[in-house]
Amino acid sequence: MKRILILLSLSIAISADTAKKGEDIISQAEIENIMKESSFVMPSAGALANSLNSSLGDIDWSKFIDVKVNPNKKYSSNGDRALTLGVKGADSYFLAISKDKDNLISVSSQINLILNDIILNGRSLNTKSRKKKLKKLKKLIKRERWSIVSEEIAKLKESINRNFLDNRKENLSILNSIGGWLEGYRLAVEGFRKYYNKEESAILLQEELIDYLLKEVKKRDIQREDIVSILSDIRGVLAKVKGYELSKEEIEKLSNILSVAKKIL
Amino acid sequence: MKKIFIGLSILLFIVVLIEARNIREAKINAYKAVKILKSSGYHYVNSNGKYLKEGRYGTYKAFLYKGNNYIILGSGERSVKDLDVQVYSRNWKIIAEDYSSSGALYAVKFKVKKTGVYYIRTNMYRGDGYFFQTIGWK
Repeated sequence: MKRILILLSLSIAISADTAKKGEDIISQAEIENIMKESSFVMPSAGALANSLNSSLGDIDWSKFIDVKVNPNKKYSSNGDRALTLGVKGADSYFLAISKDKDNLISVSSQINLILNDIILNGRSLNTKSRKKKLKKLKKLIKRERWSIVSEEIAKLKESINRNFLDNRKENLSILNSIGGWLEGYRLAVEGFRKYYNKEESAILLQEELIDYLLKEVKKRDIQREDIVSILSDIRGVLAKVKGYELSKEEIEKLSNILSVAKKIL
Repeated sequence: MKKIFIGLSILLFIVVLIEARNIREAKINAYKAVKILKSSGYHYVNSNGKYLKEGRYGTYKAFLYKGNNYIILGSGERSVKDLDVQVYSRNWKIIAEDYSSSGALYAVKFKVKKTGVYYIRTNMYRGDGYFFQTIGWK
C-alpha cells in the first residue's frame, strides 16, 4: 500500500511538472512582438534545391546556370564580389543536387578566382587553408562523393560569411546572402517556367524573406538601388498572387524580373 | 582613485573573460550537435547565439521548404539547466515541441508540409546563459 502511495505521488509530481511545462501558451502580445522583432535565419539554397528535387524531380540545372569561367572578369567592389560569391554558392548547391561534376568544378574555380580578389583589412579572403579546402572540394567532386560535397559547400559558405562578420563587414555578409537567395529563387522560377506545376509553385511565395532582405539593406544603408528594385519588383508580383499557387503568367513575370538580375549578378 | 580604477578594470577584464568562456562552451556544445546532425546525413545552418535569463524566451524566424525533413537542435552552456522549444507554423499552430528535462539540449524533428515562415521559440526553463541553435535539413 505504501509503495502504491509513493508511486502515485511520484507520478502526480511528474505529470504536474509536465503539465506546467505544457501550459506554455503564447500570448497575442508576444506573437506581435515576435513577428516584428525576431531575427531571421536565412535558409540555405541547398534546402531549396533539395525541396525542388522532391517536387519537380531531377532537373539539369546547368541549363540555367552560367558555368563558363572568365578569368579576366573584373568586379568594381567587394560588394559585387560578395554578391557573386552568394550566387556561385547557390549554383554549387544546385549542381551538386544534379550531380553535375564538370560544371561544379567550373563553378568552384570561379569561387576561387573571386576569393583571390577579396582583400579585407589587408588580408586576402583566399587564405592558404581556404585554398586547401577548395582543392579538397574539387577532389571530392571529381570522386563524386556527393553527400560530402554538399557538406563542404555548406562549410565553405559559412566560413566565408564568418570572415565577413569577423572583419565587421556586415554589408558584405548581407550582400552574400542576397546573392545566394536571388540565384536560388531565379533557378526555382526557371525550373517552374520549364516544368510548370501549379500545386508546387507555392514554394515561390517568399514575401517574408524579401521583406527581411529589404529591411536589412535599408538598416545597413547599402547603396544598391538595382538590388532594391529587383527585390521590390518580385515583391510586387507576389503581392498580387491570389491563393496559394502561382499562374504561368506570374512565373513569366518573375522570370523577366530575374533575367535583369542575372545581368547584374 | 587610481587603485579603484585598476580594480574596476581587472573586474571588467575577468567578466569579459568569463563571458567569452561561456560563449565558447555553448559554441562547443553546438559543434557537437552539428556532428550528430552530419552523421545522420543532415545539412545544417547555424543561428547566432542568444543570452536568456530563467523563464525568458528567444525566438528565431526560419523559412522552411516543403518536403524537407528538419531537425532543430538547441544547446546551451553549463549554467543552462533546462531548455525547451516549440516550433510554430505561420498560423501559430505548434508543429513540434520538446519539453523534456534534458538539460542544456533540445531536439525536435519534423517534416515540412507547407513552405513558409516558421517560428522557433526557445524557453530557458531553468538556469540562464547562452544558447545556440542549429537547423538541419535533408
